[in-house]
Amino acid sequence: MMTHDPVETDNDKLVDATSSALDQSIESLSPNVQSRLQQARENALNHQTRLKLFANLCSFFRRQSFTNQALEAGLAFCLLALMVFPIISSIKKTTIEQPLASSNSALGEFILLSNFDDTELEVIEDIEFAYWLSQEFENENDIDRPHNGALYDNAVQHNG
Amino acid sequence: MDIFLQQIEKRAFRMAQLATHCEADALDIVQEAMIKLVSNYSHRAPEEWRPLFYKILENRILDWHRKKKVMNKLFFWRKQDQDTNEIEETTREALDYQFNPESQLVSEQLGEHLLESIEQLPVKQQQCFVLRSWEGLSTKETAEVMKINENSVKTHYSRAISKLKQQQETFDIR
Repeated sequence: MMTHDPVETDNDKLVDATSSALDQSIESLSPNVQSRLQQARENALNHQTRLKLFANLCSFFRRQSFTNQALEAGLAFCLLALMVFPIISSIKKTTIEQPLASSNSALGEFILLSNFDDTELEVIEDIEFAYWLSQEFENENDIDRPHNGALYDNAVQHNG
Repeated sequence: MDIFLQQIEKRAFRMAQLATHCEADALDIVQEAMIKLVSNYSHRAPEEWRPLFYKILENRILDWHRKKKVMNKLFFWRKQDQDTNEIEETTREALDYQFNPESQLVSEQLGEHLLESIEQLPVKQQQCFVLRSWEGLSTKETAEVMKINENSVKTHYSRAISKLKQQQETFDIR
C-alpha cells in the first residue's frame, strides 16, 4: 500500500499551481510586449546575418591584404636594392682607386702619381732623390770611392 | 534557430520580468540573450540551445541586479523615486488584470497572488524555483545554468517553496 508524503503532495500542488499561473501569464501578454519580443527575435537573427557577412568580408580582405603585403614586400626590396647598390658600387670604386701601400706594381704607382698635382710631384721627386742619395752613401761605405765630394757635386747639380 | 526562439521568448520574458519587475529591462535582457546565443552558439547542436540560452539569460539577470545595486548605492537619492515608480507600475498592471473579466475566478486570483509572491522572492531563490518547477530542469542542470553547486540549488529551492507556502496560507486565510 502506497502512502503519499503529505509534504511532497503539498509541494507538488504548489508547483503545479505556480506553473499554471506562469503559463497563463504568458498567454495573456499584451500585444505591445509580443510585438517587441518578435522585434527582438528578428534583431537577433539579423545580427547573425550581419556577422556572417562581416566575416566573409574580413576573409576576403585578408586574402587581398596578403597579396598586397607580398607586393609591398617586393617593392620595398627593390627600392632597398636600388638604394644600396650605388653605395656598394661607390665603395668598390673607392677601393680600386685607393693606392695599395704595399704594392710595387707599375700600374699602382702610375695611378698614385696621376692623382697628385705638380707641386706634390716635385716633392715626391725630391724625396726619391734623397732616398737614392742615401743609398749611394751607404754603398760608398762598402767600396772605395775616389772622392766623397763627387757625390755632393752631383747633388748640387741635380737641385740646380 | 528561429523556431527555437519563438518557443522560448515568452517564457524568457516572464522570467526576466519576475526578476527585474520592469517590462522594458526584461525585454532588453531577452534581446541581449538572444543575440548572444545566435552570435556565439548557433553552430552548436539544437539540443544544447535551451540550457545555453538559460545560462545566458541568468547571467544577464544577475548582471542587471549587480548593476542596479551599484546604481542604487551611487544614486541613493533616486532609489525612493524608482521604488515609487515600480510600485505604481505594479499596481497599474494589477488593476488592469483585476478588471479583466476573465480574471474574476478565484483560481486566477490565486495565480496572480502566486506571481506576486514569486516576484517578491530573492533573485536566486526565484530563478532556482522557476527553472526547476516551471522549466523542468533537473538539480544538476539548474546548477550548471546558475553556476552554483547542487546543494545550493536544493537550498534555494526549498527556501523558495517554504516562502511561497507561507504566502499561500495568508491568501487562503483571506
